[in-house]
Amino acid sequence: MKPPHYEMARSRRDFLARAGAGFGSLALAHLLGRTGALASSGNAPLLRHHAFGRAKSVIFLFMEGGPSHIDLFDPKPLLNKLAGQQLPASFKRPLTAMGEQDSPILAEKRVWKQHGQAGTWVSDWLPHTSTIVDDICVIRSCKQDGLNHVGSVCQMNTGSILAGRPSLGAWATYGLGTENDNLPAFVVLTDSDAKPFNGSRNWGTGFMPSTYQGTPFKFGDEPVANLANPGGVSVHRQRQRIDFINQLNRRHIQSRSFQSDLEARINSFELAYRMQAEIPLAVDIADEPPHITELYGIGNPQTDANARNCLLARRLVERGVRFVQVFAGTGSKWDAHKGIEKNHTDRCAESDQPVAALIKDLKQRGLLDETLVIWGGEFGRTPMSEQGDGRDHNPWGFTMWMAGGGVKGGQTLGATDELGLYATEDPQHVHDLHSTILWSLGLDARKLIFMNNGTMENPVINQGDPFLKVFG
Amino acid sequence: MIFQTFLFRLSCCLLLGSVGVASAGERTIQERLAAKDIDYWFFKPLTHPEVPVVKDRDGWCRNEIDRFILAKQEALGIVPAPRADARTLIRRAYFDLIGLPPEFEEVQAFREAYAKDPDAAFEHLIDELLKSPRYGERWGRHWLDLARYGDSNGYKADEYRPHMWRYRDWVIGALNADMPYDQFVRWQIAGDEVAPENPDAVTATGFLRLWPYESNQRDAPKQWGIILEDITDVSGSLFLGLSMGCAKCHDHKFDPILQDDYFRLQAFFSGIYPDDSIVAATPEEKKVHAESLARWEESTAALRKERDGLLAQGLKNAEVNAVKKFSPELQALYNKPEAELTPLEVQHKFLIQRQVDIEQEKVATKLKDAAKARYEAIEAELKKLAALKPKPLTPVYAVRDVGPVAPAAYIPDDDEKRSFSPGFLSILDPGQAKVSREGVKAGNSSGRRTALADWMTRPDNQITTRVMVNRLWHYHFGSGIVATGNDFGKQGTAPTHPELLDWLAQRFVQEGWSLKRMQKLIMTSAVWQQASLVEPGDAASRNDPGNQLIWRQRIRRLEAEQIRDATLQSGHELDFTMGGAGYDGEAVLRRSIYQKLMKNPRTLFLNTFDGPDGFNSCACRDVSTTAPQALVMLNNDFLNRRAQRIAGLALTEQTDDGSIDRAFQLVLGREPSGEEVSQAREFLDQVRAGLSKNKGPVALPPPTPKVQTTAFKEFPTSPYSGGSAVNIQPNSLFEKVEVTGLPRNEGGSFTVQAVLSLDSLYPDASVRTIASRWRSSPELSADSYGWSLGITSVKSKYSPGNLIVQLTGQDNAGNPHYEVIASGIHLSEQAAYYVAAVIETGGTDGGTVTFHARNLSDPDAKMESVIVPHPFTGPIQVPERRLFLGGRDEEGHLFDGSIARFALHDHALKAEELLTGTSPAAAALVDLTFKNDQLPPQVVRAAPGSGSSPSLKKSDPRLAALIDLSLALLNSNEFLYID
Repeated sequence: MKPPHYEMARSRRDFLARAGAGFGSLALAHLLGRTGALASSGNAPLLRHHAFGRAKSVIFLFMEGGPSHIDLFDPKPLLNKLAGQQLPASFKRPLTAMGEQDSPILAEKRVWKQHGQAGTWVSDWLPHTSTIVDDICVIRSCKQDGLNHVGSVCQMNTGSILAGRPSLGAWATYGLGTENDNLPAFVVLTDSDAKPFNGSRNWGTGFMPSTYQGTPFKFGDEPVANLANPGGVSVHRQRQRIDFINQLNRRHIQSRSFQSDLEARINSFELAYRMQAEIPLAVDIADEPPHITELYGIGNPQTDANARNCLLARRLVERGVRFVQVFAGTGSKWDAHKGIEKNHTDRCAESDQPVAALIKDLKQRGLLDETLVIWGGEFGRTPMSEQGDGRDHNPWGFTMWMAGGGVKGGQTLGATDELGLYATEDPQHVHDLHSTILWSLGLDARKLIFMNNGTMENPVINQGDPFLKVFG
Repeated sequence: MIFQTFLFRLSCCLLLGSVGVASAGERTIQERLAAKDIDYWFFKPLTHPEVPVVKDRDGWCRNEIDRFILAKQEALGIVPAPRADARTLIRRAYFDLIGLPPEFEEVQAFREAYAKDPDAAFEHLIDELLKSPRYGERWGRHWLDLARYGDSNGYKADEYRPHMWRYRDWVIGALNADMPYDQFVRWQIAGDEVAPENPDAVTATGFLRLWPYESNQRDAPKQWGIILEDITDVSGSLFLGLSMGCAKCHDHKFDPILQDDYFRLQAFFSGIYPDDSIVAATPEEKKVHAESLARWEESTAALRKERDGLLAQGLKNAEVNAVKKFSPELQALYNKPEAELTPLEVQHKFLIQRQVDIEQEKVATKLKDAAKARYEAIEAELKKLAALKPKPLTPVYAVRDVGPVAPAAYIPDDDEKRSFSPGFLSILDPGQAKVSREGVKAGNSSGRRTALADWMTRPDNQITTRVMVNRLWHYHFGSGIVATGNDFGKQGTAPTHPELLDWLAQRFVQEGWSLKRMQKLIMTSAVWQQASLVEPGDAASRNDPGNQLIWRQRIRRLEAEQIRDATLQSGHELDFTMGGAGYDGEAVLRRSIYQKLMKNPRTLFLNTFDGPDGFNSCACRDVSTTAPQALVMLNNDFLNRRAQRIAGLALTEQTDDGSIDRAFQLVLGREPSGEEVSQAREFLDQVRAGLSKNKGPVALPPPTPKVQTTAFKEFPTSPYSGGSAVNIQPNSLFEKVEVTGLPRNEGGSFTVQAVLSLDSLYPDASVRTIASRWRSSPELSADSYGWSLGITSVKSKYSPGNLIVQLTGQDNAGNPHYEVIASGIHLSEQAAYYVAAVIETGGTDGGTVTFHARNLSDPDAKMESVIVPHPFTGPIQVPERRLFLGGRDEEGHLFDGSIARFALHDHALKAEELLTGTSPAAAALVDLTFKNDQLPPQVVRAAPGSGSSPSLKKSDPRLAALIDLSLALLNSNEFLYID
């Protein structure tokens, strides 16, 4: 494993290798100090912290805007009994995002059934997901600190409701590097041209070097920005250009062999050249057989965008990409403040089949055990109504699910109260969820240290623990 | 001194095993401190080290700094590197001080001067660079990194802050003026208190406004807490060099910093009020403005009263709706009478009020029917009286105090609800800070920030002085004496030269806190001037292979802005316009520091090359090397345009060797070696061979030149031109020429003059372009703005031979607009003409084009002049577009004939100031005549078909190969690294 597209001697292992090649401990100390990028010994990125580590890759299916847990995975019969009434006094009244202080409880209109051998509850909005429940672990007790999208999306992606911290994908990449030099280690997919809340900060690196940031892919002629040669430059000519650059740079390095990043730069051109060849192949789904594209729902206008993204996510983890962040409903489209029936009917129809197909496809290829799949939004939705027929944000209790990567399927863990407002049993804060995700990768979130301005930073800000029940 | 006393007392207490006679509270603090390393060096007073005595057998030392450096080396038997060569020195000095590479000619001149008298030449160089306005643009960027500067709010909406740039410009100006650092700090922390009547001091407090702000956060107290934490964290890192943030939740784990200290520091800032009505104006300006405004208000009172009446209900509703979204407690707070609000509640209410304001701003647009019609009529009436209204005073993002009594600082969610008054680090001074209003000039302010500024700028403050001189060292050596510039604590790195650090800190104060004097001292040292390319001797490899003792200079990579600026500078494209609102994107070719810096989407270069994130104080940029960087540098349109530009300049040389020379000079500031020339020649051959082999899209045959040997043609002598002209013909090597090297663009009002002769009109509807800065586009947008002076075709609907100006720009309705402004003056073929177009924009309704033309071939012909109005208010340019004679910054619309003179002025000339007039005009941006030997240096032959995009489809193989060569040079490590 190598750090992603990154040749400078910054990993501990690389340092040690170089130390053997003439660099003394002072050089090590100096480089450590100068780059400020690595903890002192004992914190060892690139090494798994514990033996469990099943997952090699993560696919995070991010339902942006906040799907309603009480309409999808967490049935609450009391909702319909109290419909039209105020929140009972026994419930602590929360500060709601949109400020409707006294709106009544909104009934839910779903048909609920238990599915699979485990009897997991799933509503009729997700018929395809109902078929994979024995592979997924539903966590009904998620919670987080944000109230608005901006803070909540930020926290679900970076651990903090405030900007400035590295994303989870960046941490995973920092910790484990990449398995494939010719592809970015951390890829981001969106299902429309809309931008997710907070934009690139969701896959940014905060105080870490830009190496670890996510790379947005899209379908089409240029899947990654700046990937294509400039107009009129053939592959052959690009090769000539790089060869000449290498010639210049190799001459330059002759009298500067001690400066390791000069050599790294020479290598970076080779990596770039290989990426130019490999990324288009990874993105080209034309070689997928019809039964696969049909499984995902490619060609059906409603499912097409998510189907392509889910299929591409599989192709990427197959090729060794470490972390794939898939936004479904990009631009907060799950945000059903009003008219939740129409909103969630559409969102579910767009994403249900592709998501279920991804699990089935990974499983049939034997990839599911080494790929952790997470489904969920930045929060759930309130039992109280908003604008008559919508639901407001609920960061106090909501549902996510995980599959693969050592997760024990067929489980439903944690619980919310009788109305689905607050997490009550085994509450899982975002820091816990991130710890759990990293745990599946073999990383102990609190031991994954990055030195920043003299502060030992970790992905969970010294909080949170892995939810080991997820793994059975 | 306070600084020493307490430490001394504390040490004594510890020695005696006693906690002394202090009060219970203080005892607790002492006990808590005692658990930490209170002897940690950073908190000790500045020492007064003697400059070491060294053997210095080689006479290496140049000043005191060197003796500190050499003493450590001699102790280990290490020999420092000799002085670097002249080219290395000038390049290093340029990048260090102004962030740009020297041009080849500057390198040559310096080498000559250096050969005669190295020390004098170098000192002169440093002085010149320190005087350059480019200095503030480089060093301002360092400060903006530290201050987490950005032009937007952050969060989802990431709203643009339209006047944040005034703080950025203030920083650049203050550094250019070498404002003493103590004043620089004092103004940023407390400018409104210490110099409230000075607009610059008020602007400087923009530092306290750089926090992210969420415009729909309903939890006002929580957001206010986050804002204060942001200011505390940044101030701790920036001024104190401490990771104070670690003490937010508990006593610092490693350093003797208590949780109390975090909130004691915060309490200095807890009185701020981010008042958006603050303006940067002198009392006199405010007075004049107020008087004039009063007159306007008087004359518009009735109209405004009626308008306000129309809006009243809507405003009330908007307020109710906005306030309703807050919790009942905050609603109650909002509705309390002002007099009953505590200062803290006033601050919270400010955050609620902002959201009310946002809703209320929309009210006027929601009026309907009769009310709407009446409202618009009133606005139209008011617009007529707009001339009476004074221009608004300069708005700034600044702060003032909420009042003379500032709220305490509180720990969020603290069950005990402890409150904190201002105080310095307990280890230095455990008591409360003495806050007095003495020295506070603002009437209604607590004086807390002044007290903090006073403490920070004390000459004996070991914290702030060490932190700042260390930053200077960092920026000149790639690493500080303490490598972790924002953390001098135990988790940071230990100083490599603690004595030198203290010596520099005191020297800094002695030099009047002058950054420039300190920089000159550093740069005239032997240690800074050392070569970087030396192999370590035995002692160095054994004892200091990491070069911590600086026995050679460090090789550094350019930072994001330096890379962008240097690529522009290589092709002489960099526009040195200073200041003003940030520009968007990459198409504007000004220095990167003036780019608009939104907190969310980062600019191409900052994103690619480890730019700061604008949220955290950044003391040390990362240097990562990644494949995506290579993709940007190889494939991005911006880079390829730069390469094309450099290639265009190199193409003016007749031979390959000449072009190779030129490209090396432009990009690397030096001539290539013989071996490099032969390798480059081989490369050019390879590319050309590849292009001719591959008959694909890249291999279109070059246009057959009609004119091979010379660009020049005889021209009838006139009072306004010589006897020669550049011969511009379609499909020739000179089908158009680019005019470069303008000191600035012509702007919105300007004058174009030419002496020309037209050979033919276009048979189709194309225009014979005399001169232009324009790339047309079927879809009107800001990207298609531009102007062109030309002559209509045979088929033109404006009648053939008509002298016209085509303008695309913003019209008086604020929309993109295209219009042909025809003079009605017709030019005959095969006759010499003087023509001029005086283009004026910028009025509220539009402007005019004044045309002049005279047939010089007809002795009896008189000057014809005409004024034609147009609706453009500006802008009418995309600054990146290039200025061409004989064509546009795209294909087609070419001239056919000769141009004997071309002049461009950046303002509207009066008739008598024209070339044909009697009184001389102010200096032209460019004024060209042509002789039969070579093109003027500003004129670059544009390759046939060039200009529309960096696509090489139609360019000739020689140009294509030179583009590849130029791109390769821009990708070379020699270009990207400083030796």
